[in-house]
Amino acid sequence: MNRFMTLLQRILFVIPAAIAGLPVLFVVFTYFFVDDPVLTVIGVVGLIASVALCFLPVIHRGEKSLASELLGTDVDEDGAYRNSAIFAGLHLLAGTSTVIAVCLIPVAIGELSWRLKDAFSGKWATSTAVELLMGTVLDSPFRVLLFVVFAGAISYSVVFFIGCAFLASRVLGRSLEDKLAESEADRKRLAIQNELARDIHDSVGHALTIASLQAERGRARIDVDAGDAKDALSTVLSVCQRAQADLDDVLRVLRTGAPRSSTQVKDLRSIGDLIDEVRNAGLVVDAAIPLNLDVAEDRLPVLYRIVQEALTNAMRYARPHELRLRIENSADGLRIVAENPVDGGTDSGVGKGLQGIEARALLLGGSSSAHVVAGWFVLDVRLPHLEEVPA
Amino acid sequence: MIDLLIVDDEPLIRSGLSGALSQFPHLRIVGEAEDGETAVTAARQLRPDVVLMDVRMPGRDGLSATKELTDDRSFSGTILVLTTFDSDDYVYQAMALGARGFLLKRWPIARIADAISIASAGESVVFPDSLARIVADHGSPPKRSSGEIEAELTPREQVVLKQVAAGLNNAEIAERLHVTVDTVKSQVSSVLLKLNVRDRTQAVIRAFESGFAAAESGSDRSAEARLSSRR
Repeated sequence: MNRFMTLLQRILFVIPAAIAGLPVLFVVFTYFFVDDPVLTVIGVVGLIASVALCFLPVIHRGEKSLASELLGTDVDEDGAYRNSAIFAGLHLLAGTSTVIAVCLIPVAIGELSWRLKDAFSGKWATSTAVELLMGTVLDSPFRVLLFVVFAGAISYSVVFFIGCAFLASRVLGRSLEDKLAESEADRKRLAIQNELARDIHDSVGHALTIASLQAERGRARIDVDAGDAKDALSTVLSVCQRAQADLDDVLRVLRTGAPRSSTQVKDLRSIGDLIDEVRNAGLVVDAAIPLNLDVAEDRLPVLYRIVQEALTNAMRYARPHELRLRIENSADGLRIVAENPVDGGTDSGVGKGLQGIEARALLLGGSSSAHVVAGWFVLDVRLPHLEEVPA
Repeated sequence: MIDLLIVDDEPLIRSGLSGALSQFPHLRIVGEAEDGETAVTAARQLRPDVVLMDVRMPGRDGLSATKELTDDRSFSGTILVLTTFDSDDYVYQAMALGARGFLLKRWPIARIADAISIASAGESVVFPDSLARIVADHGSPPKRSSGEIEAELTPREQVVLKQVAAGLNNAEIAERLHVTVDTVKSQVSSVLLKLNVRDRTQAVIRAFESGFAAAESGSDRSAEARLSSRR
């Protein structure tokens, strides 16, 4: 069944070209049998028109969609014009050959039966095996020409019929470089999706866990200690609100395909708010952020995220609770350096937060390093200036 | 009354857990700790029956604290690992180091309370179905093959080990096998002795590592199903 479908699709693929090749028959017929030069000239004009079709971009588009639909070619829509023209030419030639072959078959059969009749009457010995096989006698230049045209047409038709899918994929198909580029784009898309999944995993999943626990605490304590229950509920509220904002952020990236500046992250002030928040929570922050820091709008959410992670990290690990934060914008790009003291030497564990920073930096063509130097944990992130964000 | 020590670096998790668990009359929170170091000190001082131990913490982590406490013969408490996600890589390590089981922070509080009771009773093991998968993903090469386990244990003991791996306690196994609880107890002890392991959890890890228990536990009434049915 499958093979039958393939056969049918190949036939359908050749038919349009065969129709375009019909003027050939018209030329031959009028030249040999009607003997009216005007009709022959009309046929020749038709033939030229058919060949001219091979150079029209609109025909190339048709060729591509035919190849894609009927031959299953992975078509390169932006392929070179020359390739398309060559393929259209070969396609037309195949259609013309098929027409010639199909029309000459009855002639050949007639010849063959004539030869067979001769053979039965004892004259066959005068023919060569090839002549007998082809059903013709190569006794005049015209017959030789006819034989060559017929043999050429039929063999080219057969070769094209068998090889058209391969030819299409070579000439019209996407090159290896294109496919590599696409798989690279896929990989980047996947990396972004993973990053988003990790975002949701980190922020929303964790927030939900805390919110449920705090809600349980509130429920357990409400009759025992109303103040405690109230605390728990306030925590639930703030945790949920933050998770909601995080989720909005992630969903916005998902919907638009590329990081956009979110409603929260309108300007650098939101980063200032973030710093104020951790200062209220008891972290001493020495922030060096130039007032004239000019950050591209699309970079802001990433910058915000990185600063947020750095602050969270310092909140958890800085002993004493202290952080030096520096943001610089130079010709090379953005640089974010966060340093906090750590006690107890080197902690090798790199949490999901830092991995998230690294993933973001790498995706944007930058880099991120984190290490402990002389009792200080140093996070150094570099982001190049915006060129293109992988879609 | 079960005395609890809650160890987590995040204050909101600690306050949430202790507040929420305070509603259960049989549980008493005796202390909280924010990292592995303070956890070890607090555990020695407060002698809790059960320690709820987070794994990833700044400074000293839950793994090394678990190891120190389970190696300490004077400490008789049970350690349950607290984790946010059941696919956590560290969960298996903590279990291998001697934690009795693990709890997901996102479980409903009644289920967490149940798991604490079950673990402190010591008659069954506490972990979700995913343990088999975690062991398969992170486990060390089996110390014994499935065939060796089968050769070492009597057919009856093999059946008992499979039930233990499915998370059943002694009474449930007794009921299912139509024998007395004492018979089950002696068979479980014999299994622990023959496998040379400290407790049921370690026996179950051996069973999963070797593949001895993998197939049956899935179709059986698992610890997960059992925990949820008790609610």
